[in-house]
Amino acid sequence: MKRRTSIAAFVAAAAFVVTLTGCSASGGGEPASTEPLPIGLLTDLSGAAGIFGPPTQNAAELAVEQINAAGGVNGRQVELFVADETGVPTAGLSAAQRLIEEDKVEALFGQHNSATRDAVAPVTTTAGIPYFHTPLAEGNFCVANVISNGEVPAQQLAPAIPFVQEETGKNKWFLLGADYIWGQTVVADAAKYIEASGGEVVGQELVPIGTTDFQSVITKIKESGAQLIIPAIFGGDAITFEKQAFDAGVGNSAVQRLAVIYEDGTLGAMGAEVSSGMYVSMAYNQALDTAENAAFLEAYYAKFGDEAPPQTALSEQTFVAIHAWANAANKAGSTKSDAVLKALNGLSYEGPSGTVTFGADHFATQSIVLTQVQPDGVSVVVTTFDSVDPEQDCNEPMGK
Amino acid sequence: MDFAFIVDQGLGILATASVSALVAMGLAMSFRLMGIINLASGDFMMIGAYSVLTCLAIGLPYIVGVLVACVIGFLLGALTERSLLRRFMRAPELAILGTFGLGIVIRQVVELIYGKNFQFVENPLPGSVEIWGAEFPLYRLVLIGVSVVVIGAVLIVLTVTPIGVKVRAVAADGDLAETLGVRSGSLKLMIFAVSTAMASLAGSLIAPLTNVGPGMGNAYLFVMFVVVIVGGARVSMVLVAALAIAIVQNVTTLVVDSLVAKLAILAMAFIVLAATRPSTKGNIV
Repeated sequence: MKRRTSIAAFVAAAAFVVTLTGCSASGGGEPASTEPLPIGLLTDLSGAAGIFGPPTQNAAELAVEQINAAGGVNGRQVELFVADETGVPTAGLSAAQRLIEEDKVEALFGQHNSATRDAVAPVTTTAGIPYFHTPLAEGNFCVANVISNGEVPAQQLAPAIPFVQEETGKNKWFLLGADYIWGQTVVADAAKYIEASGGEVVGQELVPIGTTDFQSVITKIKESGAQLIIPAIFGGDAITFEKQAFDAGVGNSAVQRLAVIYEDGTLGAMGAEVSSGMYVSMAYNQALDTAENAAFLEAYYAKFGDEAPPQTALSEQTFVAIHAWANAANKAGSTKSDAVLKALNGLSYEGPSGTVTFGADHFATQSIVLTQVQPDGVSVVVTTFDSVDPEQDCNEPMGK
Repeated sequence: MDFAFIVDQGLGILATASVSALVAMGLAMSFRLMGIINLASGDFMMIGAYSVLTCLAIGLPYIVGVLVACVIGFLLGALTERSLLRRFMRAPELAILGTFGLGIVIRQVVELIYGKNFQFVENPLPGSVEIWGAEFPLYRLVLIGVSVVVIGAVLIVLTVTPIGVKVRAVAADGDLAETLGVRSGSLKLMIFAVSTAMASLAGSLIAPLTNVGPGMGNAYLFVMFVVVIVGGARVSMVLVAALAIAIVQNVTTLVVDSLVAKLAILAMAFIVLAATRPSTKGNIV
């Protein structure tokens, strides 16, 4: 029964994709400059990563409002279309195609997992629009019209691992990853940087996305004698794991966390008792004390109210990507993929997280902030690592 | 491998097994008595979890939430039997489609009311206790206790009470029982409502351990069905199967990894199916 329904769903999805791609006669010609400029945001509004979507949508709306207030892009007012990626690549692809075919978006911003990115990238290439994959990801993705401005494991881990070993005096690590390309890459890269900094990996485990029972994994961690753990699992899964681990006596006070995707929304849902003491290494945190961040947060909470979900590295990167795209498109005088990417090469954007420089490798050199959760659940900045290299080797030209 | 480790693993297996046993027992009972395969079981679990969530949101204690979950599960089950399953009486195999559709409706209604996002139920009993040297989460211990009590109560009702005798009679031969004056209609109504109440109870019990979302039931449905496939339609065998599958799942995860564990229980279902012939006759207990 299970199999039959999933096959039926697959056939339905395939039929849907075929009908959509079948009528891909995209409209030609540059629109008149007074017409609105549609851009698309594909984000997780449901599923395991659904917690990341609302602040991302808010960040995108704020960026568009700011761009329009400053005169728009090439004189056109930007109009934002949002679609739910749901965490499933086939659904994400359908949503992206709707944005491209029906809403005629001229740039696509994706805050979703890399499996969906792999599915969506070809249709953006065909449509000739720039595609920004904004959240942190595993890197190693090289397609002519795709920019990945999210932080990669090299940036999150290379400086943070030795720092945390130094700070805690511990060096026995357990690596826990979600069983797909991102989790696998974080685990593999972490092992590399741990070895380079004199640490030791005493155990590792990959778990399927959507795992609800972590008992056996927690026992494994307990038995391994690990002092530190890098949990590369996200959203609902991370919250489930941490709550269950805490109850089983494998909380942060027993095994120190160096998290790579526990943003403030995730940490908040765990509760202060569970999250207290965890280190997080990501590109942005609300606690950053810079003038750009203060202005960003003031505008954000003024627009969406004090109860708005906290801004995190995952959502702030979408804000950065949309602003950087607008700057590049204004500089190029066009929204065509090649022109935007050519203008983006080497462009720096002063964002809430600091200076983000878009490189010829389609990735971004940026600063990384190491935060630690306090007993009251609030994150404070421990240190920042400036202009960290993404260590990518993509040779696709940035625009022809 | 010391004693504490074995205790820890054993309790972990019991915790996993007790949740699947609660749901699978209801599945097996409604299958035996009515020929109904309830594909909406996972969604009744989800309803239980949302019942707890809602009770906590309006300030009621967790335990009230669990009781409300049972009552809502029972009432919705009774409503489903009367309004939907009665129509499939002559062709119970079509009820697979009926309950599949019902599941979609339930999920969409919950999504309309509560939204698609995951929500979280705070653990009412955080922390762990020490049992024979093993540190085991207190809440999971309570979960095992509640499940054992409920499953035991249902077994006692089935084996020693007059109602149990009638249920067993209908399960053994529905038509013959009818001719002897057993009103199978009201028995079926009750059994189905009890089975959905048990699913709802299971959902309310796992709510503090996991993410509460409209699609949460599907993650459990797979294991539940494997349990019924392995155990067959006898309630006692379903309990054994729940335990066996929990052992295979937890030990394989520990020794190999979680993906292989999923495959292992699937392989187990195939082997049992190939080796035995599932029977819908004979004793239900």
